[in-house]
Amino acid sequence: MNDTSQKHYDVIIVGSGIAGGLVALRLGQSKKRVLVLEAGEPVPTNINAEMDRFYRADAKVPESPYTPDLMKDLDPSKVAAGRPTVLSLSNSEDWRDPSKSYMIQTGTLPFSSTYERTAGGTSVHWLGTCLRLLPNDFRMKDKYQRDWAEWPKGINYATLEDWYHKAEDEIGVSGSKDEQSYDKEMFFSKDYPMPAIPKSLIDQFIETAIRGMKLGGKDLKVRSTPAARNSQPFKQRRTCAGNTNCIPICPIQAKYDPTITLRDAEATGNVDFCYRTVAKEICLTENGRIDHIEYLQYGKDGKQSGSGKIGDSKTIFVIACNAIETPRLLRMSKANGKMPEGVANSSGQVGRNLMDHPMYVPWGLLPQSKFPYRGPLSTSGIEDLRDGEFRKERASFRIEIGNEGWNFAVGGDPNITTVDLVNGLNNSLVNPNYDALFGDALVTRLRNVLTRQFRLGFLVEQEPDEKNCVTLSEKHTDGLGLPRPEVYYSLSDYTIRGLAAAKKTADDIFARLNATEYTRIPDKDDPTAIELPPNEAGRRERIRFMGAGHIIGTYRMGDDPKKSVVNADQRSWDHKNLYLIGTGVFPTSATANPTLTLAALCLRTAEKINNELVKA
Amino acid sequence: MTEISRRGLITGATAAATAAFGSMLISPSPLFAQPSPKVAADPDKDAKAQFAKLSEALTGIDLSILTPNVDPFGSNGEIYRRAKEAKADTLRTILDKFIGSAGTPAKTITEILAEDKDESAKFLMRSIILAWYLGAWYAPVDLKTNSYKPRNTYDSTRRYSREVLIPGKVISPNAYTNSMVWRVAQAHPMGYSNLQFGYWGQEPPVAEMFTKPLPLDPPKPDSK
Repeated sequence: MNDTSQKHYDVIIVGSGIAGGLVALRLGQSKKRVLVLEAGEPVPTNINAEMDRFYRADAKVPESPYTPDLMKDLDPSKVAAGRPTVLSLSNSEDWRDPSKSYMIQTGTLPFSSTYERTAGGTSVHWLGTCLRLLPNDFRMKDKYQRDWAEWPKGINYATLEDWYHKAEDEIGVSGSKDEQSYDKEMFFSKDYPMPAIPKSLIDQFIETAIRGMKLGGKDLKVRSTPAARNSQPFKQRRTCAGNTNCIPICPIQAKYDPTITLRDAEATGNVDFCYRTVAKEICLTENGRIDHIEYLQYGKDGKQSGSGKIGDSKTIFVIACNAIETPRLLRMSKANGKMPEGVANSSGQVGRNLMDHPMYVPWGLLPQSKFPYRGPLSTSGIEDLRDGEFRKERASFRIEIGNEGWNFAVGGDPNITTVDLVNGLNNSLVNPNYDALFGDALVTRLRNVLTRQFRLGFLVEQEPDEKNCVTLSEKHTDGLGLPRPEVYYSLSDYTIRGLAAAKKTADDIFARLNATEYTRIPDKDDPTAIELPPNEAGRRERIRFMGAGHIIGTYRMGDDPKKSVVNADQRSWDHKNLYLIGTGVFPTSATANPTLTLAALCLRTAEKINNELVKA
Repeated sequence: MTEISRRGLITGATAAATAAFGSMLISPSPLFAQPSPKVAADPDKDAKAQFAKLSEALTGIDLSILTPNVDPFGSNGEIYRRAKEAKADTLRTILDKFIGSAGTPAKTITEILAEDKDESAKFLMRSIILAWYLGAWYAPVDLKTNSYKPRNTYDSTRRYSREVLIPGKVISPNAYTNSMVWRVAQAHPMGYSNLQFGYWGQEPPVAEMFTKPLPLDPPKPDSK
């Protein structure tokens, strides 16, 4: 740890993910003295160790390259800075088992998105999708009479447009404004900093096949997805070489990740970092300002090595721990018992309205070889169904086109299909006669399947719901003795009707493509199984939903201090020197992957904080 | 996993440099005239060559790809070692039959399978195929336990979700980045691409380019 004890910091940030990183960078550039507390490991000197862990991982899940190495069966009660993992959530027996799963789950459905607690946060393994929200995403109540919390008046597409540009310039986004102009109210005052990523063969095939296809009065069109992925050398990083590995790790950092921002922040000379430092409590002065933060530290062995407090009442505190860890910290901070529901919580909204983009993933074989497992994991999407009058009745969605075959759809292809065809099994459903092949027959058969695989992903807007809530476990603690987060999660009927529309749309697109579908129908007792309402033929279908890794809500912004936790600047209504930033402030989830909007809001907030410090 | 510390690497490099420099001081003769150090003969050299031929027949991938002249991955030696560790006797029997047979490689394998009363050859050969294809070791015993009658048999029309997942262990980073399934897919290992920006918008080279020997004489342009 740096010698921070005697120093006054203008700003102390908890969490070094993309939100905390961008604020640290901007304030460091403005010569403010900044300290960042990070619960996990530092930015590594290079990514060789992470690549090595990835190559060696039997299950190449998002968390596989990162520390602590949870691929081993670690008891979450013994891990200093724990996290939910794909492996602990995907196993139907484990998601409610506190000895396997860090997050304590009490809901009717599993919250199946995960996060990281390491320098760079969860976006170390994000896909890089950089869609903007649509103008109507900010006004669901006015436009579609949804009785949802509203975004603040000052936050809408027009006021954010310039901040979107600033975010795109900072992290480096490749895109085409012409392709992204599908909403008549959406405007781009200038183009993206880099040209769009070329479409894959699968994108091109779908583009041709769905030409002229209309749904809900809208023409469907395949569009290159704006992405934080270099289509040219950008800020000393290379052009994408199509490693098909954006998640979990780009081997050449052609995809932006927040460790890049952390290095830039450190290079300003004004930002200090403390790693393996877990904020434990936000402590108040008599008059309700934040006075300091108490923290615990642990060593490389994972054992507690120290504790302390940092900051003073003139410091500005920024909490940027994600939409589960931030409400956890707020709720752990009880002001000596005076605030039993946690600081910054006079509205009672802290922890509530947890959202994700529940995802329907259908997969199949195309009639021709279109060669998946090549290029970035996704290069295009169908965005035309993100908005429409139908949002009065059911949730909207975007459609992501995958380039990675059945890789995550079946839980680890090409391995699953290969083992099927070598050992006479049929997990992939392409081997109904249980053939066990070798030699040329194996090559021919396997090639025929692998080169035709494809999958879609329907990311559905989740309706905000107070019941979906992050609280503290009364029974279960982590390795530092701190209460673990307890999560209640479910999907509303409105959201499930959106999933039903996604299923119907998927069926229509598969028919257009002349594709053979292999999507598994889940068992009734599968925890991620959803019974859809009766379809047009009166038949009830069952589908499986996945988490999109988009952890949204839980400390929403608004104009009314009674109904929201922070204002339009992401500043706490209750404590003037406290900011809560990140996707937790979103009152609604919309359908865009949330990181770009997070980045735009955080750059905006960094400017507000800087102005405040300059005035002081 | 072998931990190589940075300090260890630096120390090793220094030792090597010192050794080279020291030998120059002692002996004035030029370095290239030094007798090359004796390398112990690999007792498994012949067996590994036989194993490579067997692997070619099992995988359907050409020998020149499995064991290229310049071989930075060394997959053949690694997979041979894993197979020998798992079932040395069975491996020896398979290799003897394979080398001793006059028939085509595919026919010989079929014969080995036909004579394989206790099924030990069958599952070891499947482990070998999967090791080449996936860079991971699927133990013969695990393949045997999960074959024929999966506990949850699928009905292809009903499509149940239960899976019969067999645990495979990645052999090494090299084994993964040199695994053959990506060649069959006409792709590259996920996380290991030597290709250029935008390649994904174009068709890959023809399938044979990935699994068969490169033609020595590429077809000449039409000389009409």
